[in-house]
Amino acid sequence: MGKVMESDKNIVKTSLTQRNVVITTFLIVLIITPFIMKKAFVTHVFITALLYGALGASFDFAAGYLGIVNFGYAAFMGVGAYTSAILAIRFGVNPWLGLLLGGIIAGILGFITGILTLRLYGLFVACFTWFLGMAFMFLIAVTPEITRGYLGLNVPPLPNFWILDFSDPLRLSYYSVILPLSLSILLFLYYLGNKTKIGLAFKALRGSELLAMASGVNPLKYRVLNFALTCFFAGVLGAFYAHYIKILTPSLLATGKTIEILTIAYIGGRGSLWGSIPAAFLIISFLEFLRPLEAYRFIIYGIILILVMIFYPGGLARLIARKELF
Amino acid sequence: MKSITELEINSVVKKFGGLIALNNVSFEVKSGEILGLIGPNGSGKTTLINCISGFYRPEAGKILYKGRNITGLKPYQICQLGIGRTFQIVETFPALTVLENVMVGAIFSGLSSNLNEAKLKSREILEYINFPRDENVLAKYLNLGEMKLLSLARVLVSNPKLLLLDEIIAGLTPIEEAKIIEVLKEIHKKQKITIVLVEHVMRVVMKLCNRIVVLHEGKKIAEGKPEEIAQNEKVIEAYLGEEYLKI
Repeated sequence: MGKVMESDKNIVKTSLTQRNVVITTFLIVLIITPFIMKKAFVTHVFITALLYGALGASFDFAAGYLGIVNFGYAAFMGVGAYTSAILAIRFGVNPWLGLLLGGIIAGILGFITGILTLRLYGLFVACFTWFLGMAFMFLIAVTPEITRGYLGLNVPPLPNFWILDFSDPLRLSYYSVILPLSLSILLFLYYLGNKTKIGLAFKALRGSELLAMASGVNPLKYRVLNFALTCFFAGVLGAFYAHYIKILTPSLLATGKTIEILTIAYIGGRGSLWGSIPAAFLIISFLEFLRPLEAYRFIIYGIILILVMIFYPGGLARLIARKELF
Repeated sequence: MKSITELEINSVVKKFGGLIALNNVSFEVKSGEILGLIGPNGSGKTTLINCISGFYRPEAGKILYKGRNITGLKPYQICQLGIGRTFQIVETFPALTVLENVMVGAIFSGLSSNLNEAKLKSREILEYINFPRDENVLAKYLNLGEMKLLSLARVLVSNPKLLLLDEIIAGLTPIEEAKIIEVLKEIHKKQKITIVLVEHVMRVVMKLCNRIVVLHEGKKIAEGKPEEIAQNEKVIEAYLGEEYLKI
């Protein structure tokens, strides 16, 4: 090995053990709180926060890792939701299977969308996915024979499984599902992004697409793969949402819903997956306090988003990692 | 020993709107030779490299590699055929470590699909060229000379058969320059790699290259051994100016 500079020790990548302690503590609090408090409202906040945290992380896997902003992301969530709901209602498909099928249909749709649009970049992808999202929303609205449109679709709950009773008013069973589901998705995305060849391709494309191409990376292939995967997860989480909320309307696919997910992803920190979880908790609890302001919520979202992008572009993830919050 | 043509540039034309960047350029590169590609700035050298490596598609003409038509193939396909290139304005993956930078080259060129194997191969090449920094340093903290060495490592790790080096010597200190030349000479001797060297530093070109092709305003104006090129009137005129002809 050649002569190594002394100062390199400071800029060499090190594992942030302090960050790991914070995360572990947070996780423990996360897991036990709803079981201790035994209040339906608290459990609901936790379920929603975990759901949106996973959605945010998944969204960010495209936006933060590869710069692909899917402005129709909520529509893929909605596709998963309606798929599972309709399969359960009309064909008696077990909702547990519906979770997977919702994901697969959303993933296939994402794959097709990717092939069509991901030769484009930046703003054009955002626009196209935005329009596509709206198209899906209207498609669902204008086919009430299948989807009940704006009248609303009543969705059966998840069937009871083992010790999990989904008629429980405290909703702890749903919490026991979304907790491992969201954390698994995060772990999977983390593993894929950091420990695999595919993840290295993503990082290379992000670092320098020119150089990545010259090094043998096929940009379209990896962009489509990334995009389709995030759509798959949106579908799975959407299907869970359907059987949890038990009522679906086309407004689930609206752009406003994508913006909620985007806000959580960006406040959590672009490029960091786990940051979406604290960001989701922050936003969801904030939401509860701001409930009286209904429509004005979006103004607040906008202001927070702008402030974060100007002053804290690394989001919560960097704040916590740099201990600036303490 | 019969000389085989490794790369054939056949009447290549490249236009950007009204500007003709490459005007019917033709020459061959023999297997195992080091070919210098020189000419004034704007003469089309980098454009030609971009055409060979798939970043541009020529309007006319063909590029053949070992007899196979590679015109219009995508850059990642060109790489996987065993053709490596560096960039005139040096490129790295700034947020990745030195080791990861080289690993990208090892994996996606098709050399190894296994991360651990790629890591080992990458370490080997970094060791071989005596890379002066820790393998875990992020590429954005490197200086120019180190970045150029890194790009050399990245392009070499996949055992390419043809190397396209775009001004890799430019901007280096004498020590750094000597190091890169040493590495190139060794690799060329051991693996019989074919090299196309785009360069402005004339003494390096004259010293390293078996033959030289000279471009000027998109046209090939001379081709031959270094001694011949050094005395070529047209080359002197394009590089040193007309006054020198009168001397």
